[in-house]
Order: sequence, then structure tokens, then C-alpha cells
Amino acid sequence: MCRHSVQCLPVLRRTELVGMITALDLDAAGPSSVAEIRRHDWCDAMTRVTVADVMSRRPLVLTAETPIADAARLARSSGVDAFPVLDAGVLAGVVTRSDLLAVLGGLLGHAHPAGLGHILAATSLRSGLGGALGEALRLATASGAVLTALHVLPLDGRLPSVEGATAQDVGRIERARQGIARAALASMCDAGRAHEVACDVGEGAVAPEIARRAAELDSDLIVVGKTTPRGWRKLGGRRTIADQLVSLAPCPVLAIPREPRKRADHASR
Amino acid sequence: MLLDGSPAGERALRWVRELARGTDCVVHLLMVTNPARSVRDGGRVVAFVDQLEDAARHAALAYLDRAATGLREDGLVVETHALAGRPLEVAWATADALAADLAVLSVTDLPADVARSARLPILVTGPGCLRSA
Repeated sequence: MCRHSVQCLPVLRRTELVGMITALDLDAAGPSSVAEIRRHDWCDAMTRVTVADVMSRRPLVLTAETPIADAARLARSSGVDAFPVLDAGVLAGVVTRSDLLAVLGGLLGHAHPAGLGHILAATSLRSGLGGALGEALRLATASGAVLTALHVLPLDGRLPSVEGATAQDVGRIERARQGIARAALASMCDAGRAHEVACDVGEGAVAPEIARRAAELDSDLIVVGKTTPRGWRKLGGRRTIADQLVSLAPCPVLAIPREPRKRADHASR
Repeated sequence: MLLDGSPAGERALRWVRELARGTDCVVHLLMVTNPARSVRDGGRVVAFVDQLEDAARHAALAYLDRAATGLREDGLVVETHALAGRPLEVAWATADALAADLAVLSVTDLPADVARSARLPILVTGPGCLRSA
């Protein structure tokens, strides 16, 4: 049993099944619970004790036609770890608890695949369906994942303080800004009707906000457009949103360039 | 897909399987080894560059074949490549040569501007990615 790393063996008299022997049977048959003494006593016992002395007689058996569900129920109710399988009265194999779990695990995996459950598409309002949102829509349609489109209004896009404007005025303008963004995002999502999309508008530092939403929504994938910083951001060596997300995201990030490379480009090289 | 041999790097295999499922695309697994230098002992060369690179290449291919097994079992067509050089430079050059539609970068040591330097869509598993393959 040690040599072949098995936990149980069927015991046969010619072709007839007469019992099962498990690692637990062997352990229980040990003369002492003190390891040192047991080791010493086993040396003596090895010459006298036989398989018949320690095996379980009349083991619970399955037939080759027994449904897996029945076998699992029997394993649960009896507490037995391994069952010999008979085919026309002859031993055909052994089914263990691990075998049953492997089958059930596979069935569960099929019913609830560990694939894409939720995709978060972080999109600008300019790119339309050609960028991250379009790619996310394609993925969600193919995988059956739930899709949320998120646009984050950056804090540095807020209006500067206007002389004479009250906090109420600024709040009204900000709400209008969010409303416009929400309407624009909804119309983009409507254009890709193949899949239902939840639209969401956030506000804050863009990459941390996307990462926060991804964690909140338990997203399996973030799809983001890959933009290159321009102007002073480029001069300052500022990292792209996609690059910032790579280090912050709680799930993989799929970064889509603004203008996907054409295959024709390669052909002409 | 660029792998570096680390268990963390293998996390993205699940995503490759997910994205490639149901398509007729070919998955290329790439591992980039460090360029070798000859080993000298008292002025005498005891291991030549080609010997060392060969050994590293074979080890990388053996690793990639193991990584490819699960994908192949799912019915995907997988090819493996072991090349020497700087990982990201080799990855971009290979993606260009293969006219790849997507690069999956699942290596533990990525530069901070990896997305900026890419010219094709990339899937990256960053350090905060808790979801494993």
C-alpha cells in the first residue's frame, strides 16, 4: 500500500471478494498507541498477523451499474472511504471517496464554470464601441458574463471655483455633469444591444476608482482602453490609466489600444 | 503568452483558456531566458554560450510543454517558444512576427509602463490580482 500510495486493497480468495483492508485497519491493528513500542511490536507481529486478521469482512459493495449519486449517498451514510465494485459477481475495481469527489467536482465545475462571471469595462465617452466597451461587449456575449460599463469623471476635470457661485450652484453643475456622462454612456451601451449592459458613472482618481469598483463588483476582468498621455502629462512621464490599473486591479486587466493594429500592417512588412 | 516559470505567472493560463475557447486561434506560449555567457575556469572555457543556451532552452521548452498540456486537453492548438533576450522586447518582437491579436503577460517582474509600450491589446495579471488560474 505504501509503495503504490493506495489507502485500501480488496482481499480475494481466488476470484471471490472476501474483504477489504485499509490503512486505518492496519493502524487499528497496531499493538500499542505509542509509536516506539508499536514499531517494536510490529516487527514481532509481522510474522504472525495475516491480512485475514485485520481486514473488514463483508464490505459494502457497489456494482458497475450503481449510479454515482447512490454511491455518494452510501459513502456519506456509511462513512466508508472505499467500495469494491463487482461486475457479475467478479471484482471489477475499487471506487474511493476521492473518486466520487472528483466526479462531483467536475459536474459542479460544468454547472458553474469558473470562467468570466463579471466584466467591468472602463471606458471613456469618446471611444464609442470601437474601444474597450466594444471589446468587452464581444467577450461578454461570447462568455455569457455580466457586463458593467463604467466611466469615471476625473477630479481634475471639475470646474474651477467661480466667483459668486454658491456651493449649491457648484453641486448643481456637478450633478448635470454626471447626468450628461450617464446619458452618453447609456447611449453608447444601447448601440451594442447584443448584450445587456449596466451603466455606472463614478468620480475620483480614475485608476483607483476603477480598481475599487472592480473589487466591489467582484469583477473577473477589467477591460480598459489604452491611451497615451498627451501634453504636460506626457512630459511629466505620467503613467497611463492602464498601467496604473495593472498595479492596482484585483483581477486581470485587458488593455485595448485606441486604434487596434491592422493585420495588413504585418503583411506589408 | 509570456510566462516566466513562476506559479504566479501561470495565473493567466485560465484566462487564455477562457478567451481562446470556441475560437480557432493558436496559442503561443513564450518563455524568455537570459542570454548566456561562457563559463571560464583559469582562462579555460568550461561551458560555451551555445551549450548553456541550449540547456536553458530545453529546460524552458519542457516547462512550457507542461503548461501547454491543460490547454491542449481543452482542444486548443498550442505552440511553444523558448528564446533568449530581454523578456518584454522579445515578447513584442515575437508578437509582431506572429501577427498576434493579443499578448498575455503573466510575469512577476513587469515594467511600470508595460501597457504604454504595447502596440497590441494586452492582458496583464498584476500583483494585486487575487484570482488564480
